[in-house]
Amino acid sequence: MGTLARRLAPAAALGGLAIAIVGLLDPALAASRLPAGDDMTAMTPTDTVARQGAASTATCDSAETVTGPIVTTRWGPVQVAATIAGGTLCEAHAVVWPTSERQSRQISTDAVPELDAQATQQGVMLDGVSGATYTTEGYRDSLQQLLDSL
Amino acid sequence: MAIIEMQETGLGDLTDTQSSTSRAGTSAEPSNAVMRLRRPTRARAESSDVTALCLFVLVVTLGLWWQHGGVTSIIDGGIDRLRAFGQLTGLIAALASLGAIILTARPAFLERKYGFDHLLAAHRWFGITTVIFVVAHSVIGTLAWAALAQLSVTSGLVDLLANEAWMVAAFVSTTLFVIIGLSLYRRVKNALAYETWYFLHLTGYLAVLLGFGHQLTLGSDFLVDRIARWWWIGLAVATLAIVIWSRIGVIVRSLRGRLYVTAVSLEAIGIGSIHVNGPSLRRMRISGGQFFIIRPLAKGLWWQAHPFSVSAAPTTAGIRFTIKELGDDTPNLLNVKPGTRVLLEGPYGVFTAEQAAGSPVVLIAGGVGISPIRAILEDCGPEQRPILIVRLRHEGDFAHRAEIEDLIRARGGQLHLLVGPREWFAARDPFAVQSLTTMIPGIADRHAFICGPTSLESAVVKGLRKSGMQSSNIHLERFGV
Repeated sequence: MGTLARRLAPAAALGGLAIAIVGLLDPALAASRLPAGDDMTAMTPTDTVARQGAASTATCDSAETVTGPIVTTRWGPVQVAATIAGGTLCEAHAVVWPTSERQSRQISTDAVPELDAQATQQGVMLDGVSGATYTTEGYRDSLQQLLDSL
Repeated sequence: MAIIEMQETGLGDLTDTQSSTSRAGTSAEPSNAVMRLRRPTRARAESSDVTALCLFVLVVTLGLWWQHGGVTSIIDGGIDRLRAFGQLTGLIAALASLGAIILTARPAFLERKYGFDHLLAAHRWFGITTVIFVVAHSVIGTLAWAALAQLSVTSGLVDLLANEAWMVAAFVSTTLFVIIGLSLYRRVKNALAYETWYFLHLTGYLAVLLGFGHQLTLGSDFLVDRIARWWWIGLAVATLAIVIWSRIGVIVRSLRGRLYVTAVSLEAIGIGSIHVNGPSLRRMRISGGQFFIIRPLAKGLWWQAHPFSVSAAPTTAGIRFTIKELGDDTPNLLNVKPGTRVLLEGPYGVFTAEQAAGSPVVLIAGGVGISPIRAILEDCGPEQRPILIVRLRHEGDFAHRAEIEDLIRARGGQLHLLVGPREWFAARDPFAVQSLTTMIPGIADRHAFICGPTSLESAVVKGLRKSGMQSSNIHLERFGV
């Protein structure tokens, strides 16, 4: 091994190891950022309905409002309410979200409107908001249970 | 001066074939063929501008943290206090790391003002600050996370690593910073070959990069507040731009420089001169006493970059560097064949005669430190009544002695030689107030230029300060920190 190779080796090994660890283990680089819960693997007919997205405006005029259960997440409780017309989701919005801690408060004020919009569009298969993992999980959970109860 | 190797290189654009012997000593006087190179332009930035910019960045960043409730949380106490401290340490660590990167990129607007050696010294402090605050941030941040999630510290750490984006990267980054921090210890540094240490040190860029992700995804400050987010991204982009412009630009410029070694000569035991010339030399702005980082494009040498001082007034006939071979196991720089292409990065440093602005001077050199001192002496006029003090282990270590004696004589100056092993001077310190004032008449009105080993430099500075010299009149070159 030449002098250059010998002197470069420790740094190259260290840098390579660092990149390999991050590439293999960091959640940001994993295929899906958001954890796929048990409720996602068992698809029910309700999910299929909910996933089809918003019902037509006409049917939504006579929609009824249903409230999901309170789901406790690490940062606090999440509860979702939704308007349903003929078993189809018209619109979803959070009624309770974590506000206890400063950080949660900030995340919620930004993330909750985003989650509402996503849920109304995509139903329980909503993309989620990165950086608000637990709130997303709680939101999805509450909405899922709401739809299951119909 | 013995010429050990001197030949024409046969390169088409080599117009100057003047021998290195005739360059010695008298090259400052321009003949019709040889012209002095222009001096570098002065730095545009004022110290106050730089201070103001640093303060602005610090105040805005900490202001955003304050606005997001950082100060309130610390006053209120509870778990939020821990998190607020975690954020504060993280912000300081990140700012310090960007500062360290900018300093080591040595952009011209800073380098011309402060000199490479001062930038490196500042880089060291910014770097040490980074390591300390990164470690503090990691510990406090993990504790805060565990407390918020009501988990044990270990489970909190596992939870962070397993579930939060860019947190594995952040902890790898911390590990790299710790390794780099440990490698700063004199003992560790001395145990490693310079390049081994240098390449390890370069992983600091990776550490900063890996730490960046979690700053945007986990810290709510930059996740929610759009202004804060763009401010933070802006700082990172500005740093990146300075690094690219300053570091990569330098390499591109030196590659286009088409400079090569015209001669190598032996000056004293282990000390030699390398003469460099090339078509791009005429466009360069250099002062005697400045230094370049030299990479000869020869087998086994191209990846070793060392700073070497310009030891004679730079002219269109070429630049001369006087260097000491440290007896490393690497190929010897003094064995470079004439005609070898070299990459020159620089000029760096503000160790030039301009600093004295025509005032009387005293020049103090130790060992190969004579190299920039010799060039500064050449740039001094008789009205500056130069006094030169040379400290050497052996008389044979005195490089360029004949030239220096000629220069001193031409300027009506004085030369004091302090030769002998250190023990000889233990009893009577040559840099004590009494001997300094004896050797240097009118000491308080003079500017001092000092270049040599650190021990010599600090002894001289101490003596000069005690003898009544203002610290703003004392100029040091400390490259190769």
